[in-house]
Amino acid sequence: MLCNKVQKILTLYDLSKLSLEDRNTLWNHIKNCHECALVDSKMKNYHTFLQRVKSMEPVLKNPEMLTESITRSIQTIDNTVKHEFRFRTGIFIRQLAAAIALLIISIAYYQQKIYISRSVIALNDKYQYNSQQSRQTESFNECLVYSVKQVKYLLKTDDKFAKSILDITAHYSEWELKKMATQICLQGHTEFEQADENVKKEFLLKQIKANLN
Amino acid sequence: MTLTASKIPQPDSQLIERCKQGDSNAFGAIIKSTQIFAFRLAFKILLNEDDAKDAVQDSYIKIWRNIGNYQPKYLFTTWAHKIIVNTCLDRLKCLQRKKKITDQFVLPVDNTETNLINRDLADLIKQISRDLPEKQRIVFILKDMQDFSIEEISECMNISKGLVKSNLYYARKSIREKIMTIENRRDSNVVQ
Ligand SMILES: [Zn+2]
Repeated sequence: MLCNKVQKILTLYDLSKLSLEDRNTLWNHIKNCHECALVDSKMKNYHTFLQRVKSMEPVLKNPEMLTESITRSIQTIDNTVKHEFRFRTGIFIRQLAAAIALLIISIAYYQQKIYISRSVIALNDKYQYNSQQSRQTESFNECLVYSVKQVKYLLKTDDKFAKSILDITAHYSEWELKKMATQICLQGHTEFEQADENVKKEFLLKQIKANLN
Repeated sequence: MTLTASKIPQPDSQLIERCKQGDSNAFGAIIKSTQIFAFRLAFKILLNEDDAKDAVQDSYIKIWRNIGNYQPKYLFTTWAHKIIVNTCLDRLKCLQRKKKITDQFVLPVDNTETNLINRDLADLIKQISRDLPEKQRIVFILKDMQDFSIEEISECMNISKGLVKSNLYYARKSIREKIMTIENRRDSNVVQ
């Protein structure tokens, strides 16, 4: 066995756990090697010394005070956490209220949308019915002028509406406008005139789409 | 006598369960039964009573906060020791930074019997481990003063078992050379 290995075993391992064979090899080496014998002796001293140091355990004065102090700190932390929880709950409730308000507004908005869409359908049905019955207008030209004016007015006053129309057709010509107005005119304009502004817009969009198709 | 994590009496599993539910009284009972072992461990690393108490307090706060993550497949004390050792190491780093400032002040000397025992022990550990690098010193304290297993030290310090062994080897090698001198000095002090 090499001195290095012997000294490592002497320093690091519990010799009582070595096999009998290994222990005999170790002792034979130590007997004949002054350097390793010295390490063995120093390690024995080390362990004796260590036993003495380990018999001196540090003393904890007033252990109940330490327990008390730790428990108090934990309670303080818990209270802070509870406070934070309450604070966060407050924020959560406010966020919830805002979300509910937003939901109500959205529902109202979509209800309005549904109402418009239903009115457009009703108007459409009525126009189709009227067109099947008879021409409602006395003068075709008079009607045409009125309808073109009506569409132009809507295009001018409502950018969003104009954009919607432009999105449908990039080349929105006078001819198409007239064609569309004629469509409205042919079907009679009394109901159209009386309809809600939003219904008018929706209806016109629908007519344009139908004409393009 | 020093008790390693596996030999320290383990808190009752029902008590731990109650702590997980937020029962601070149950945690108080755990503190009562384990704080002395925590204090001894912290003292041997920090070598000062007040620092050790502070570290113990910080450690129990961390244990309380993280008790929900504790898995019963491990020994409670092994898990707790890892927290205590790491809290002490953090505190040690902090103290080393502050050392230059505190060295300028002379602290009042407490000569009560308890304090003398603690001071004597702290002096002795300081003398034997004075020149050791930090890792070697901690490995020596955990293995030879606290009887931790190599696996426990590796777990606590987040280093490999091989590294634990090599640090222990160099620590013991260095300390065994100092023992004779320390023993002689102590004997001459006793004679005087
Ligand atoms: Zn040899």
